[in-house]
Amino acid sequence: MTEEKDTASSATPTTTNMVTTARRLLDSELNVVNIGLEIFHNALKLQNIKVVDVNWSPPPKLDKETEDLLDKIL
Amino acid sequence: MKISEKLRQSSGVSEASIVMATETNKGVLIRLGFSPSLIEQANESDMIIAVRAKDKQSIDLASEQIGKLFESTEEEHRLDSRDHEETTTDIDLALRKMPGTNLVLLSIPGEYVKDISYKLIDQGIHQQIFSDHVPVEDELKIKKHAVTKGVLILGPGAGTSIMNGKGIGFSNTISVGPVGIVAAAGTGLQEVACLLDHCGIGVKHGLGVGGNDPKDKIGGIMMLECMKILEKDDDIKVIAIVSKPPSPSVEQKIVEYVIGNSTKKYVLAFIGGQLTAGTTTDHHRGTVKVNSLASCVLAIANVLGNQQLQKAISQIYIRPEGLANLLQGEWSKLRSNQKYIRALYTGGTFTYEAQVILRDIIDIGQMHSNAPIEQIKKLQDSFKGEMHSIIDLGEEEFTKGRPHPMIDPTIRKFRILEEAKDPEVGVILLDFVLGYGSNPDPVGAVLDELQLAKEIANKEGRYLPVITHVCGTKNDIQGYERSVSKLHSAGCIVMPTNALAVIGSALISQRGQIELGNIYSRYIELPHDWNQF
Repeated sequence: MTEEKDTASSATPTTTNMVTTARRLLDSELNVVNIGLEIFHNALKLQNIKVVDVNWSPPPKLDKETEDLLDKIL
Repeated sequence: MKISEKLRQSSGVSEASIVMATETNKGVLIRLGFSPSLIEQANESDMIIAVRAKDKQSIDLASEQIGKLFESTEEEHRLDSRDHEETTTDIDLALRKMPGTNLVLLSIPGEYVKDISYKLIDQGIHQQIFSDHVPVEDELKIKKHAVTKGVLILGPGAGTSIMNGKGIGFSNTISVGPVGIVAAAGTGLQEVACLLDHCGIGVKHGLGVGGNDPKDKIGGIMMLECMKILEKDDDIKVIAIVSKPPSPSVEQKIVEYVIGNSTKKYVLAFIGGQLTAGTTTDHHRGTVKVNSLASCVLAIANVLGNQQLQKAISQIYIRPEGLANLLQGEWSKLRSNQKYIRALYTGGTFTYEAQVILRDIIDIGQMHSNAPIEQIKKLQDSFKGEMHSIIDLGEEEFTKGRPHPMIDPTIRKFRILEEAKDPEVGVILLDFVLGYGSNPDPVGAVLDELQLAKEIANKEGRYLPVITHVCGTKNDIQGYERSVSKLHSAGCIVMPTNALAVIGSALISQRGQIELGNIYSRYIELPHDWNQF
């Protein structure tokens, strides 16, 4: 796909990318990953939007020593 | 919540709540009249089952029901789990399960958003961030990083977006058409989209950028990007910006972009913003500036053509004399000490707009809110009305550890009855938001309380007006007409827009003694010099 040029005098390559990629999103079929509240997953399903649901929970809170150790290992 | 709903339907049960023992939930249960000494014994990891019924027999029946309901819910969950192959606990796995993921919807506690958002940005995945309480420094970093990667970030704090007619988050079933909206106000976007739908005007895209975006700290980063995105869509003829007034520097960027680059017509709806002479229209570029959600819709219709404007007027506008005639019967039945408006809102933007309009009509010194705008006093206790009280039931004191009031009506039911008991209340003002994500029947859920409220007042020789508006469309699951019909059956007044409901509540509380013409010219009507561009 050729990139479209923004006519704004303040156009930058990054701004042009945003317009192009976002328009691609808006004009395409949505493929959604829902992270968090189940009601949003349900709302998307009701509209026949493809969605994968992540039943997210926060990472365990570790003390600093353990965190530092894990950072070294991983 | 499903079990609580089923339990409330049991014979003899007047209230049932099955909730985790968070501080908010415990506070609510105590307000609902359950024993504080018992409730305070529960820890955060405990579940509280609270049931109020008319007699011991009903309690025993309810107890039996509880066991059966928990068993059946487990079974339903097991069955559902087998069908929900698309559920996982791992984000990376989820992305692999959805090849070509082009949008992530993120609704997790704000402190965790940045790390996840960054990883998604690096993979080029656009996001709608519903999460509140994302630190503003994080939001700025996220958006700056996203711009360098060409990734769209909607939110944080964005409850609603519309993409080619599909709703993301809390949203409504609307028709697709020639309007694009950039909004820093979730229920504001919903209201404008739904009202346009009533007027036969469709919305192609509505992009929610979150309430912080138009402030100085974020500088309108995504608001401007979204304007550029919509500007490139040939199907879109008019772009509306819906927001509280941006910071002056952001407003300047918006106006400079529109004047310098746009080929489309713009409606700038800065709710509560000042309209100064000479800035309401820019005939050269077809930019109009309004300061309410209702006038935003009229302005859009005006831009699209006279036929569209006439239809919009017929759908969402009531002439001042018509409004006064309609409501005179309400205020004529009030006792002399029934003075105050008590607004119990589920939509934050409606709360904001109500304060903006009422501040121009009634004594500011008597106005209170739990989410006050400039010049309005903060309520001492969000759970108790004072004089005129405009309450956002979606604020944190009501929602921490609890579902949003658009989903769970428990707190609003309680508040409706509390306000009904106050002999100084002259009118109750309510919003009902339909659509995806909302309660399956927002009106039905409080219908008993609305009828009971009027009975409570009646027993004490008072008449209690209730004025409402419904934000929704005929194609929403809950049904706009059905919802309106239920409200009428409960003796409630239904206005087509929040602005008219607010003005109506002021008319009632002030016994018709307000400068309607002046208020209409500021918040409802189009300026007299507007013609079709």
